[in-house]
Amino acid sequence: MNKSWISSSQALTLLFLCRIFTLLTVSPASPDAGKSLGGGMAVLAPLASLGFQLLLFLPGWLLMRRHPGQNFAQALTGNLGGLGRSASLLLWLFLTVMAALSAVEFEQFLITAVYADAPKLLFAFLFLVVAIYGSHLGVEAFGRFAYFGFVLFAVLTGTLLLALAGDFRMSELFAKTPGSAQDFLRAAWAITSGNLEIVCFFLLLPQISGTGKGTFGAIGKKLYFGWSILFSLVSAGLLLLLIGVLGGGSGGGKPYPFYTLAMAAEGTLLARTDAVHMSVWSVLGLLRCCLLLYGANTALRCGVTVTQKQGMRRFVAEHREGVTAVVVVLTAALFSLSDRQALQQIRLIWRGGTVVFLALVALPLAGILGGWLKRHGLRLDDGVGGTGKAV
Amino acid sequence: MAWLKALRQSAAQKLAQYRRESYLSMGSDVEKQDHLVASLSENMISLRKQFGNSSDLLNRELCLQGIRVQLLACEGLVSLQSLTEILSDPLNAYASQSDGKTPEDLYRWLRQEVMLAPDQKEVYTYSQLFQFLMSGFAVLLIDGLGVGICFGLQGYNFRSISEPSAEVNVRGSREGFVEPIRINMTMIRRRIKSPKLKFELMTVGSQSRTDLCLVYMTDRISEDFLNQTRLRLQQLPMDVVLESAYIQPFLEKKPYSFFSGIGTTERPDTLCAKIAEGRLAILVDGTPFALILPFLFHENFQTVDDYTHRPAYTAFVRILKYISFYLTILLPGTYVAVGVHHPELLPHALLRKVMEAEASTPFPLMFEALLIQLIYELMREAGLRLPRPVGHAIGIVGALVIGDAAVSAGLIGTPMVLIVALTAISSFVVPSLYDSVTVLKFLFILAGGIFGLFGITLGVSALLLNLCSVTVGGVPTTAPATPFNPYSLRDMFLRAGWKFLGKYVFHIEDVPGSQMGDKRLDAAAQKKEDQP
Repeated sequence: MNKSWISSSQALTLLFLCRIFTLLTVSPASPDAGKSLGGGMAVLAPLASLGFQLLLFLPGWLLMRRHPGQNFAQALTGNLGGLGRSASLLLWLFLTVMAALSAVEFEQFLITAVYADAPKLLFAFLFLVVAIYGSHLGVEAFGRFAYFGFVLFAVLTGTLLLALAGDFRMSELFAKTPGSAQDFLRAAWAITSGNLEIVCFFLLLPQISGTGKGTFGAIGKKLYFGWSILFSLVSAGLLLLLIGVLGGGSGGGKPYPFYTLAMAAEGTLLARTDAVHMSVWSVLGLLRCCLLLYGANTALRCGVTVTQKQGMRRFVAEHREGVTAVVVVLTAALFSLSDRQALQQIRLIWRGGTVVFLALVALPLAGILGGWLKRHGLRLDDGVGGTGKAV
Repeated sequence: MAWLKALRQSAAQKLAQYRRESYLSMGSDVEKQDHLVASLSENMISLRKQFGNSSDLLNRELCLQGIRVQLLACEGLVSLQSLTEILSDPLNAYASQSDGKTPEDLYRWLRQEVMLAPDQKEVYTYSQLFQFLMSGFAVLLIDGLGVGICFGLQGYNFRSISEPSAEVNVRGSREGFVEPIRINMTMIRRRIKSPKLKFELMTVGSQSRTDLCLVYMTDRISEDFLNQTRLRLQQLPMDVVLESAYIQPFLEKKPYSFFSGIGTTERPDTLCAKIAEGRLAILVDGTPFALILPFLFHENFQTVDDYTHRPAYTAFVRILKYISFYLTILLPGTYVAVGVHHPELLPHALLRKVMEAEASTPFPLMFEALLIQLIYELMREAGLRLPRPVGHAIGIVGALVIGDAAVSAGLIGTPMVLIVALTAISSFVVPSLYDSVTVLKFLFILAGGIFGLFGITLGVSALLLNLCSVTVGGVPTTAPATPFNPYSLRDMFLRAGWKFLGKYVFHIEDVPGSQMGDKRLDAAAQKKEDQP
């Protein structure tokens, strides 16, 4: 009666909105600043990214299908022992840093576009406080909140469509410099590479109703593909609007392309859609941070186990939510107070794909190998890590 | 026939002895000290000692056929007329019968041969005796028997059944609950004449010993949920329970949330409708407000009239209520946020008017909003607690001070007065949420004044997250909006016609996201019976 779970439609909405946050922050067709894919090629990039998303899904799926009712970190710990706990800690770190980065990116938008004189860190701090509160309330709470976010997003999209339908120029889709095949693949990869939500998806699995049964559950697969296809289609649709209205460069040169789109909607059918955009963006950002922090706490639960001995390990295991909260606020402070160039470098490293490759390819493959060795009476972590019980 | 008489006497004696012993065997040593003894004098000494010679205890010693009996009652709680007619006269008649009666004969006569009062109970302990005595029962103690016989002769004065003040309706029943729990129980029974409707009485409050009644339909309530609620009520750490609100926080998972998953009603018809949907109702003696568990958030916007009006009008009124709810919470805060941080969002003509009005006031916009809201709340509170004629005077003074003098003196801008007036009116549209929205509007003024629209958005998000986390018995209070079920929306923003509503019976366990589990009480009992 008291098990917290969300329905697959709630999970789909939540994951979809978290990915949309990235789409609102940076144009998916312009992985590097100043270099963007033009015309109809840009619209096709999200659809092509489906292939990359499938590739990223496969290792995780191969691991999870042998561990019904468990999350990603539990599966890794089960197969790799001490190494698995280290991998869980790595996941915790990735997700915490990603949450901090999301908060700081949103703060930068606010300082750039709305509150020019606001002190640094204030907005990121407030934003994270609410996100920490949301993750503390649990997956049911922010899973339900996701529906409100979806309604807001639908209202924003509808408003933009209504307001900008008259300004749409089909000719912009046929730009003279659409970019090379390499640029196209890079854009498709860029859409996929920032997607640490797949890790959250694997971490959430036992709490999505219907996914715990059998080998991975039919709902789990459907949910993943539904999520990927929905995101790709909506991304393609929004890019189509962006290019058709703002011009061939797909808004790549401009920061916050959809905010620019919202600004462009003013003076047409509706006034001040940028305020609506800001509210929607806040809600989506919050949802993303809630999910990432919740995922981080789940990973930390498997990474740090309770021991009889008093010490740092026990303290972290008993206060994992507090530890995650402190780390995310400190990381956000570090990012917020560092200069713009340094933050851009961090962002590029993050979005380059190394982190996603490590989290979604390397770790699951290691887990699968660990499982195979375990089944054959061997262990990867002989002599590594200690024994303990997950909290 | 002497042998028959002796047999009867022996059977009655054995029955009383058996009941007493079986009861005594259940208690601990400490509890056993609380038990009535066979000697009437000892019982009376102990009773007077515990009751502290309280002035409202009526006691009259009688001698019936040589048997000493003590009649006890609480002054004002029993009907003296009923006491005379139902109890005194038959006892006098018994006294005039032939001699040679024993205490057991009297006990048998009272329990088996005459119908003195339909509500008749036996007590074996002082605590039980006090409980019945203070609930309006007359208690008869017989010398030689360690048992008291209680007669339900309640005759205390109470407020008559009238229209509920907080849930007034245009069409439908005018009856509202009253303070005595038994009257409220009869009002429910009159409306649901089904054997499946069950009343379960229990006592809460170690000192007040308040009667509390769980009301549910046995074929519709979830067994797990019922057991969980019973357990929570049995473990209630309260000395005194005077109102249903005292026990409400102990039944909630998040008692500090702005919104509750437990509803209240003063209307028996509303309560019956909820019980029929598989919910649990809790009546508390001494209050006309019954609790409904679980209660969905959107039900705050529903009234009995919604089901008597035409669906189109109902839909209009409901949407109006939702708008007024959001206006109350967000209007002052948004006005301050826009005025301070985002003036560009206002159309030029409106912006000019607002700026002109605010330019002449000495206070910052946020302070002005907080000040005027505070003055309004002060006046409302004063008007509410004072006698009605004085309350009206407060209203007039308030209108003059705020509406005229403050604006004329240039202390407050006219748009702000308009905003506060609109907020005040809107806040009364959904009375059940009044206390939450009053606090929230102040918080949103602060959020809007300091952080602008971003603060408002974050505040709304935190509030929604908080609301989404509220569940009672595994039922999310935000359902069916989220978790979403389009079918359940038939009675949310809009109200489908009765032909449709009557066709598909709504059950609380069918709400999307409900984790109550379909373990309905009757089904569970049937399963237990079926087991070998």
